[in-house]
Amino acid sequence: MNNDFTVFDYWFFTMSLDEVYGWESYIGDWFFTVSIAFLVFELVRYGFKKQISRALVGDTVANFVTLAMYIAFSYGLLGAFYLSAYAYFQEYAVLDIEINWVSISICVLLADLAYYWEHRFTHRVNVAWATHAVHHSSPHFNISVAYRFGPLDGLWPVFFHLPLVILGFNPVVVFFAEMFVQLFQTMLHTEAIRKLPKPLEAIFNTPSHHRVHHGSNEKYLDTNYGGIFIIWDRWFGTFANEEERVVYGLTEPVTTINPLKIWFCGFLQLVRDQKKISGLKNKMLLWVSPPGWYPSETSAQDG
Amino acid sequence: MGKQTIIAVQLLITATIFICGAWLASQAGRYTFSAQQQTSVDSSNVTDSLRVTVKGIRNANGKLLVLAFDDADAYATVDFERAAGYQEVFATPGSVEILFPALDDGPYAISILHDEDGDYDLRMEGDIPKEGYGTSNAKSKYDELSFKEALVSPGDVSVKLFYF
Repeated sequence: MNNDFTVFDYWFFTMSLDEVYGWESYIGDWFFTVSIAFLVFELVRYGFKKQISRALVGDTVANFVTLAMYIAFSYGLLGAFYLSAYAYFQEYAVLDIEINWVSISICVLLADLAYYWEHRFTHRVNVAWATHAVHHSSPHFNISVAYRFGPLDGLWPVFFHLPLVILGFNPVVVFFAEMFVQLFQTMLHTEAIRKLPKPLEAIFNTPSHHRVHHGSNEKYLDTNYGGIFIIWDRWFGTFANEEERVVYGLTEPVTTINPLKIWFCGFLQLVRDQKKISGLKNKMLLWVSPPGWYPSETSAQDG
Repeated sequence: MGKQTIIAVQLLITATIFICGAWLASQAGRYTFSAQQQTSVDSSNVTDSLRVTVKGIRNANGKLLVLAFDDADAYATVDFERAAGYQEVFATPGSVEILFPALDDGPYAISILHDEDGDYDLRMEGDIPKEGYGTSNAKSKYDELSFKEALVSPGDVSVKLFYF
């Protein structure tokens, strides 16, 4: 029996679910470790530039508190919905897809495209923006912002990644792919890395592209939704290049460092906006409309 | 084009990419590596290729190593590397069908090992084999058929596994 396998062969070796889950944990742990180390570097850098303030430190701590709240809520409540949805739809899998590094890589690519749409959705539909706005609400931009999460951030991914389960990718593989798309993006939340070489900037999402995404500058709004790849934005017309200095945060700034106020700031704003609108139909429409929408008959301030 | 039309087109492109990607993924590993579980046998249009039905599998341990030889010397030495066809499938009790779509101009002699312990070898205790084995045309567990005696033509072939 010939047991001399080449590197090429290993790409096609069937993996067990435990192996996939093991890789996810391993990669996740490493990304977190590197992120913390990088955060220390960033704070030292800000220190040298005399840009450290109570507000920055308070905001950084608040980010991790939102992460803790998000994890507790997601794994506690949303996790059950996520797991049962995936388990239910796995029965309807169309194709029979083996678990190996080739199929996992393809799943990551498709999950990135799914994330592009999920991300675009959470920016353009108020009910989803209410939770995603939390992530964008910080006036600062450093790696701790990557961990700034809103209450329902764990809900929307399910709908956009279910097609992958239905197509036939094993739910554990889809989970791995979703996690990898998220983990990659932690490294994008920094001002310390300027533009990378052109080939990278052309294909991948980079700190530069993601700074633009977090900008409240007029020309930067609703752009660069990508996770790992920026190609979807380029192809679908939602790309913007970093030119002028980025102003971080929301168009209506949030300056509190109270984690609870931060966590609910998106929903509170939505409720405030709803009060300004009259008529039940319009009130309901608000929830599925883009941020900044007002019904034309209402004499509210300009968006 | 209106904004909504553009988004609809983009979603269509997305759906196409999803389907193509998933199909590609389903092909990975299926034909490029021999140690794969055969999940379904589509025999509707391969009536003259070798199709081996292995019978009498006693448990679900390890794998069945199924070898088809077209060379007498390779058959006699059970030389995996010179087999005309070779497949491994995970053992399931009872019977299992194994299709060799490429083997359509035989005849072939078929040797099967139920490799329960995964050592790619027939484990013996003295003179007694401790794992299941089978040969095409063999009628009893004591049959030791020559290459010529074991030859079968492509088509449906049934091979019984024997255990001591």
